[in-house]
Amino acid sequence: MLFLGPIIFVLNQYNWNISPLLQPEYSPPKMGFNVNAGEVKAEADKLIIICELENYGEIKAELYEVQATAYTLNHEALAQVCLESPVVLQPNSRKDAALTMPLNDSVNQKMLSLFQEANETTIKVTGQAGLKVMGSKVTAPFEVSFQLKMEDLTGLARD
Amino acid sequence: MQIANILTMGKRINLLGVISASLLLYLSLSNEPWWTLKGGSETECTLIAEISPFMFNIQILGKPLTIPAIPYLNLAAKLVMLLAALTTLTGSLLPTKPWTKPLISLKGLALPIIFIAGTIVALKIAGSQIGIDLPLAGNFAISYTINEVNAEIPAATCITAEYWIACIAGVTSVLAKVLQGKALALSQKVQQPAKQWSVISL
Repeated sequence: MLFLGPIIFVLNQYNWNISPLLQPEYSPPKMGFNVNAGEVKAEADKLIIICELENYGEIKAELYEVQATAYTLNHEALAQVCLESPVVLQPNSRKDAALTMPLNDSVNQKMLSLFQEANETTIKVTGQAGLKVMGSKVTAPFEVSFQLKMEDLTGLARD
Repeated sequence: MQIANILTMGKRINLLGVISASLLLYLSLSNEPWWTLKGGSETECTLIAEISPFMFNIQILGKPLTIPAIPYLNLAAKLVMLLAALTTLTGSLLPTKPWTKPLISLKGLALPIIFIAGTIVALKIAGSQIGIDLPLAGNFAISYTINEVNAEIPAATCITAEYWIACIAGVTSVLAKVLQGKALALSQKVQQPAKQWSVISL
């Protein structure tokens, strides 16, 4: 009969209403990320897109992989884009991540052709981002757009 | 009968009862889980579930999941086990008294059986909710997709040493009850010739 003591006590606390007593209570931590494209640098064999990552959630996350494709405004695929090195994002923090797009003759030609009508164009990068969150592997959609100017590619044109 | 005599130290103490009571006392005062589930990597856990009849700890992404009734059920189980340990200890220290046999409690055996049965049922229900087979002990992976976000969590469940200690305590309490009966029978056998002698001398 001893075990009835705490049970009667808690039932009395909840006015003999069993349903709220058995209802699990959980408030998940806030999670969220923002990606904004920043500076674009062209090197001999690759285009480096610096992205500012913002973790406005309460949990540390590590961006360890980006598998994406860069598209022109006409939805023409330019090249594959990947993450240069993993980035650890502490809760409520911002950090830069470098995305690299390998350049070859065909990509260079496609990009230079974009500037025949305008001095700058928008490139959209879409794909999947791989994150490590508290020991779990999370795959989420990844999308970022950036402005590519003619002068960003002057080095390429010269080459 | 010789073994019974040894295990009762010449009908003075029910040794198995003392062992059982000590184990029950340790279990009810310890806050160690009987069954655990850990999801994530070795260093970081997305999901932790540590459960025993006396404690309940579930954390998802570092935040606790609580059920208001659980701490009171844990307290009820703790009180029952403490009482069972104390009555078993009292009975074991007086093995020749006929009124002490019911004091040797078998609740120590019932609890691990109820616990494991409850855990299996809870895993079946939880598994059917998330669409995977959750093993009682072993490795598996939880994967789910919400709004194009896919998460994969390597996880492992295990029955801890505390559970096996509880099983040993339970089995020992059954043996202690049997031993208590034998000790009583032995003491009554000794008393009967003594009574006969006293009648003859009168």
